[in-house]
Amino acid sequence: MIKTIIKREFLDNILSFKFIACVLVAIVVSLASTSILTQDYKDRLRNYDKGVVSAKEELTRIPVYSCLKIKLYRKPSPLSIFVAGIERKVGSYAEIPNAPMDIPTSLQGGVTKNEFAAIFSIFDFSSLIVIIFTILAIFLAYDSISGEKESGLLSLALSNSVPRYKVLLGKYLGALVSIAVPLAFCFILGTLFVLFSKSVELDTHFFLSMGLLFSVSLLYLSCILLLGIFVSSRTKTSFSSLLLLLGFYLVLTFLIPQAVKSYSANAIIEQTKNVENNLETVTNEEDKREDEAYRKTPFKKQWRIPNDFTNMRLYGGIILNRISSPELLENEILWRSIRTPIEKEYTQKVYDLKNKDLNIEERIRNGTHRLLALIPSTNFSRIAELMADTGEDSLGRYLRHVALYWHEYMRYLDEKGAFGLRFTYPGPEEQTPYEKALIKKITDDSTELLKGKARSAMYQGKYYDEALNYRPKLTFLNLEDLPAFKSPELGMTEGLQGNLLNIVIMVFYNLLFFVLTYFSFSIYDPRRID
Amino acid sequence: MLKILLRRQLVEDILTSRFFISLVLILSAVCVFSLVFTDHFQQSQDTYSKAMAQNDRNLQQFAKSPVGSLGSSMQSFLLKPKPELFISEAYEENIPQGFLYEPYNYSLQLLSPKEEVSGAQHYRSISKKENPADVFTYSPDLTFIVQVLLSFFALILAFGAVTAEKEKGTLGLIYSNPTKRAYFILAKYLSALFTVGISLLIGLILSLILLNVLSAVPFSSSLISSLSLFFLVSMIYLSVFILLGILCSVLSHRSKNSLVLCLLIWVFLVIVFPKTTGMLLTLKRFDVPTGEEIQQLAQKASFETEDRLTKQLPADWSRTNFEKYRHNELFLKMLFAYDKAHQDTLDYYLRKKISAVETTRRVNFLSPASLFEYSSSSVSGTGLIHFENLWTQIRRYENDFLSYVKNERSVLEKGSFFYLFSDTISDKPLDFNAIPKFEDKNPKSGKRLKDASPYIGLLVLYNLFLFAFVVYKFQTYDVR
Amino acid sequence: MAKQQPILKTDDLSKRYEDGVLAVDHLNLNIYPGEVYCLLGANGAGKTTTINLFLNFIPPTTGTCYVNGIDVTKDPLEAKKYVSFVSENVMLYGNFTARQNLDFFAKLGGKTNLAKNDYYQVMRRVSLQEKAFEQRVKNFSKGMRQKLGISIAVIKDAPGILLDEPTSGLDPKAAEEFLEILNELKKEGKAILMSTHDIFRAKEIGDRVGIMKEGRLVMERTREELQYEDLVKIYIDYMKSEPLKIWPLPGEPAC
Repeated sequence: MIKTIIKREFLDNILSFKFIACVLVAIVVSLASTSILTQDYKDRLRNYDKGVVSAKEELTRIPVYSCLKIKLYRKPSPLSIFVAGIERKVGSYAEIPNAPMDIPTSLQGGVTKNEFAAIFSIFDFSSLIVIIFTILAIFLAYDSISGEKESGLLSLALSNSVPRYKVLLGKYLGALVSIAVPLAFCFILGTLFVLFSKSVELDTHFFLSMGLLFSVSLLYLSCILLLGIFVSSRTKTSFSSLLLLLGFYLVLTFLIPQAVKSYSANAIIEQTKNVENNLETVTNEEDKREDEAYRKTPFKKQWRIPNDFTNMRLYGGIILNRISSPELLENEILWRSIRTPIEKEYTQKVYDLKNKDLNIEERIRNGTHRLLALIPSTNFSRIAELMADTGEDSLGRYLRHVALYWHEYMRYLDEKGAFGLRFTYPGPEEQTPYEKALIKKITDDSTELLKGKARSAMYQGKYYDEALNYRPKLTFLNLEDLPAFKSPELGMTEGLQGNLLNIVIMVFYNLLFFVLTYFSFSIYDPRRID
Repeated sequence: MLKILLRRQLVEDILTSRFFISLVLILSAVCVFSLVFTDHFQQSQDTYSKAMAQNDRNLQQFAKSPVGSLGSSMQSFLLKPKPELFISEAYEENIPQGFLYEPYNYSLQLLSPKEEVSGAQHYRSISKKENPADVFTYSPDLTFIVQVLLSFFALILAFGAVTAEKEKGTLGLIYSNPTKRAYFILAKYLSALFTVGISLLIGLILSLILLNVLSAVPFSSSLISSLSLFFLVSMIYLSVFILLGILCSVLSHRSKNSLVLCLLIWVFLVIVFPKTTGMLLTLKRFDVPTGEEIQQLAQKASFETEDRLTKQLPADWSRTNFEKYRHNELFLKMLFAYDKAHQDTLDYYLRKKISAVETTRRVNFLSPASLFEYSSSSVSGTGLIHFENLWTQIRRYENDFLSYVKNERSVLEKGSFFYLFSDTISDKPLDFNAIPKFEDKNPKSGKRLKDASPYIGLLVLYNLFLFAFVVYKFQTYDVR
Repeated sequence: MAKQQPILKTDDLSKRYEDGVLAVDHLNLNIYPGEVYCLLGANGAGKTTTINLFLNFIPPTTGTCYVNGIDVTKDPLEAKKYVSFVSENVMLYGNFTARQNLDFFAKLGGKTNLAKNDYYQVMRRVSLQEKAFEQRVKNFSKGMRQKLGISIAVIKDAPGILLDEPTSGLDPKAAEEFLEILNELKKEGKAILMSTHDIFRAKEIGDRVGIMKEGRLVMERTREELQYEDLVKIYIDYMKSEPLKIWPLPGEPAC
């Protein structure tokens, strides 16, 4: 009995104009979206590969530890073709700069090359489902009960000995199958497209995730269908049920999430201001402490400041001092011995502050998400993003890993003496005798320099590039024991765990609406109002 | 005859629960958005005034000692947050916020939304913290209310224009009298226009009041002129949707079909189409290099210029003994050209990015929703057009600033160029109050209307075309 | 005449709606197999409500409806096995063909093993044109749709048939054909309850005719009795706004 009803509902749906129009639009859009996003993914993957290779290469060209610049590239997730998330808007790598005192709290190297492109948005599969398929679901469900009542078919059906719950179940399952078929078609189309485009290697994780994404989409759409059928069984006319559903849809999908997100964005900006104020306080404190410390010593600040600003441009923006006399050297060593520990302490304080800020931000974002999880469409978007590893959480997770690595890296640098002395000297024609002797010492004896107080040096000649040519004489760098960075991989179980609550909410909504509809339909008056 | 039809239609449209519900929805949306906007606007203004205060501090230091504080004489020119943002936010927060101007090397650097500017202190930032916008963010502004909510409402009013009458049987009755067909359509159209116009007007007045009360935005004449222009543009946009609704009604025989057709068209034109065409930007022809690559290209251009021009210098010239050439005219010319080449490259790519976006926008002209979005942002002077205005104003300011300093303090007699070399400026202090200051001015309403005119023109064309089509189709409509 | 059990029976049936309207007032009906009972009455007299009560679409206020001896409120699913329903002006599934519609409703009615030819046979029996069998219903005329409606009832082959104003809006030829089918069904032994406005047809086809006014069955005549009385006059007189008056049978004293 139910099978009959399902079959009829299904056939009736696929022959209707609204279904055909929606499905056509869905197919066209999913093809366009997949093709463009695949191309984009390939570009980003290529950039990633290039970046990793060039970062490795750059490491080999760096002469000393204090110039070490680490770039940690983030591999783009193949699922971002289908759920774009924020991956395209954040950068592609985290940079730990040289003489690193700053822990990266955001990614750099903007992926979107054109900053003005931010005014356009991307239509990915997740939006395809939240927009087009949801509207299709509303179209299929809004007149499932009230429409049949208006045409008298419901009376005709109920004049037979088929129990009401079977009729209801048949309608629901029929609509579900009607929407599952085009959905599956779009998914398969997308997957095939990605499969057949070269240079995208896929693993089982990808297919599994696609399957899960499909199931979650179906779960979400089922929720919408049941809501639609419920509303259809409560209103007098099909028209009012359609209006009600569309009104709900507009308000719940666009208005409310926007308002909530704006509020949370404002809260986050408030938070940033706090952090900045605290940062300012800490910075001022540090400056004062430094000045205090210098006052007690024979340190001469003016011997450090360059006389001519032209140093800045020609030397590529790095301000270094020439140590053309022993007094200057002593001054320099004094400066280093005072400043370095204060700097380290300061770095830790800044890190703690920023970490606290990131945590609070994350808490605000999680709160927002939890609230928004009550709305089916935003809930679904979030589940999709979490599965595809392109949401804000994945960014946060990556940055946390980078922070852990940063600590390791700091320890490593400290051991290697990267926080030692740096100075610059001009070309051979202009060196003072003292400098000549100093340099000779550096080039002859790379590890023992002035009784171990100064540990590294850097050559600065006509152009910075030339310095690299002198590498064989000056390199102290040995990167074999550089700690490796392990990129966080999103396993299947982790993905599901984070999502568990959201999926439970979705299932709950399904059950709730079904139960409500069951009761509503059992008292429903099928007579046509003339 | 028309008056009779019109009066009846008006009564019907306004006394329905549809109108009341829509009005409530629109007014509550306005209220919610005002609250959200207020919060945000306050913060933006704070950030902006902090940045401007920093500019002033830098200028004061510069005034005290034009040579000594060269390094910190930079100013940041940002998009000034305007109350018109409530009318149309136009993604202003997502595009680059402005420029960093360093006069001593003529450099104008683009500031992206999450730029951290390290000035004298390392961690001072003047950015808006990055909160990457979700895919379908619509900014909470009046444009959204009109573009999405009111257009939907207009369709609801109009979709049953003809089919509902037919189903009630009254269409035949009306035509048994000597009524012109066009009058019938006109009555429906005018009544629907009036109804949405009233809702919009009430919404706008409410928003003006709320803005004044909540965020202390004064009733300035520029704001009122912006609101009036916005009202005009919205009415033209909504009229398109009323006509679309009537058209769908004329093309169907049952209200059900008409409604489905209307909704499908609405979803496509308002949501799907404007949001998918952005992807065209990823096409090869709109490719621009990354930020770092642009910097490298600019550097390369500078080096090439330097190499080209230093050939004219004496043979013993080298970068290390340039001190000897400080007063050499050729050398100074070369330095100027060096910086100019750098800046020209940056400008070239910035121009390219903007025109890529504008070209992509042209594809969206098919959708009245996009046309409305662009015209509303032009009329409010926000978004991309705000940025372009800023850029133009900055360029003018650059000239004013440099010629001021040159006139006041330059000791160089030779040459028509100006270069802030320590020997070319006298170290006497400047008068801080006389230094030209930069201000981001709102363009006049005449100019804003002119900017918006291509989009408005297209919308009007849309209207005329639809109206003609509706009247034509209705002539042969079966009224039984 | 052997006293058979009535297939369709109401026992002191009353229905008062929430707004206070008394739609059916102590109705007693008995419809036996092999007879056509025509229920006449003005709009709002209670004919459609009666049918709805039989189908358990609404619960009665007092009294009971029985289908084949089963109380419809107590065991509706069982009761519905024994009754078919032909509603007024039903649109059916426009995108499906006649056969597909028939197939669907046959299956709903419990007949799951029928072949295409069985459907064709039934449709031929109700004089539906051959070429319409595989045509989409949305292009059907009203007469064709009514025929399809009755074919749905025929194929269910239930002992009781409820028809709600089946000939309204049909042209005379189509109405004739429709009544022909009813006649055949009657001869097969079905109990048929038909509500209608159409006095003339009621007189033609009805073995018994009842007039409802304001929810009450105010008059009931058999075919033989109607040969001597002018039904039309009775009906029209009757519909004039007069207080409830029960017309006595000839020979009965007026009360």
